[in-house]
Amino acid sequence: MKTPECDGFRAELARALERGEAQPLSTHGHLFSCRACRSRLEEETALDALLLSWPRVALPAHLARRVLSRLARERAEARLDDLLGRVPEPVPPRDLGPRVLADLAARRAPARPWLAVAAVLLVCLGGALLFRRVFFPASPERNGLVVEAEPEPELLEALEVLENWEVVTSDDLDLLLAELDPIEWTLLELGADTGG
Amino acid sequence: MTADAESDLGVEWMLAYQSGDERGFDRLVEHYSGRVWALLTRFLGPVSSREDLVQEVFLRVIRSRSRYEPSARFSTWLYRIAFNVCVNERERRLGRGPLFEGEPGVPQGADWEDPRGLDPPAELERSDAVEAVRRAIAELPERQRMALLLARYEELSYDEIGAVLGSSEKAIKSMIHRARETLREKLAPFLQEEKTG
Repeated sequence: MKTPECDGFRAELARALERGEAQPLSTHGHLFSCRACRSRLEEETALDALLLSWPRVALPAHLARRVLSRLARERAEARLDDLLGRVPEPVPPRDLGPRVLADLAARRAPARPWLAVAAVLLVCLGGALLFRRVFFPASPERNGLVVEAEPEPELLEALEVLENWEVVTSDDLDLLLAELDPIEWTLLELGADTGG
Repeated sequence: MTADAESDLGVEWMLAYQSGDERGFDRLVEHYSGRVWALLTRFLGPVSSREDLVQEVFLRVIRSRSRYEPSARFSTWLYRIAFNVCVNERERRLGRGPLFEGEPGVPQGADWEDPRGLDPPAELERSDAVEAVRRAIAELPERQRMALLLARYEELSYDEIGAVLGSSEKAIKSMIHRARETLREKLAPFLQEEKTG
C-alpha cells in the first residue's frame, strides 16, 4: 500500500534519475520498510544499467572532413550573402522626393503642345486617306485578296507596239536591214511614208 | 547570455562564425558532427542517409547563422535542429516500412563500438539485451524517444531538453517518466536478469 513516505521517496527517486544517480538511494531508510519502493528502485537502476549497455555509436572515418567538404558550396554562397548584406544602403539626398516631383512637373508642361501637333497631324493624315479613297478607289478585292483590274484592250495593243518597237530598236537592227531584199526595202520605205 | 552559454565553446565558435570567421564553423563541425551522427543513429536507427542528415543539420546552421542568439548551450540549439531534421526524415520515410529496421546492405554491427573484454556467451547475451533496448526505444513516441535519448546519452538536463523539444521542464519530466514506464514493461525479462545478475 502506497503511503506518503512512498510519495516522498518516489519524488526523490525521480530527481535522482534526472541526475542519473539513482544508485545512492539504495541506502534510503524508507526502503527497509517498503518492499514496493525497494523493488521500484531496483527496476529503475536495472533499466539505467540496461540503457547504458547500448554501446557508443561508432563514427565513420573523416565524418567532419566529408561534411565540411560537402558544405563548401553552401558556405561560399553564405559568405557572398554576408558580403552583399554588408554593402551599406545608399542614402538618398535630402528632399529628393519633392525635387523629383518638381522636375517631373517642369517636364510635363512643354509636352502638351506636342500632343496638339500630333493631333493635327493625325487629322491631316485621316483627311488624305479619305480623299484617296473617294477619288482613287482601291482595287476590287476577291476573297480578301487585292486583285488588279483587267487592263483595257487599247492599253494592251499599245504595249504590244512598244514591244515590237523594242525589237526594231534592238542591237540586231543593222543585221535585219542588211538581210532585206529590194522589194522589202521598197515596202518599208512606202510604209514609212504612209506612217504605217 | 546565460552562464551555460558563456562558458560554452560551441557558443564561442558560433558567434565567431556569425561575425564572419569561417574557422568557427570548421570547429563546430569538427566538434559536433560526431555527436549529431550518434544522436541520429540512436533516434532513426542505422539508416544509410545519416551522413546526408548530418550535412542537413549543419546546412541549417549556416542558414540560421544570422538569427542565432546564444541563449543556452550551443548543443541545445544544435539538437533542436537535429530533432527537426529527424522528424522531417521520419515523415519522409513514412510508408517505406519500419523506421528502425536498418536498411538492406547496412551492417548493423558496424554502427556500434565493439564492446571489449566480454567472453562469447556474455557477448551474445549482451547483444540480445542491446537489441531489445534498441527496439524498445525505437517504439517509443518520437518526443518521448528524443527526450530519453537526450537525457540518457547526451546528458542534457530536463530544462535543456525542454528547450530542444519546445516543451516545459514539467512536460519533459512527465515524458521521460512515461518513457521509462514503457521501457520497464517491454524490457521486464532483461531487467530481472540485471537485478539478479
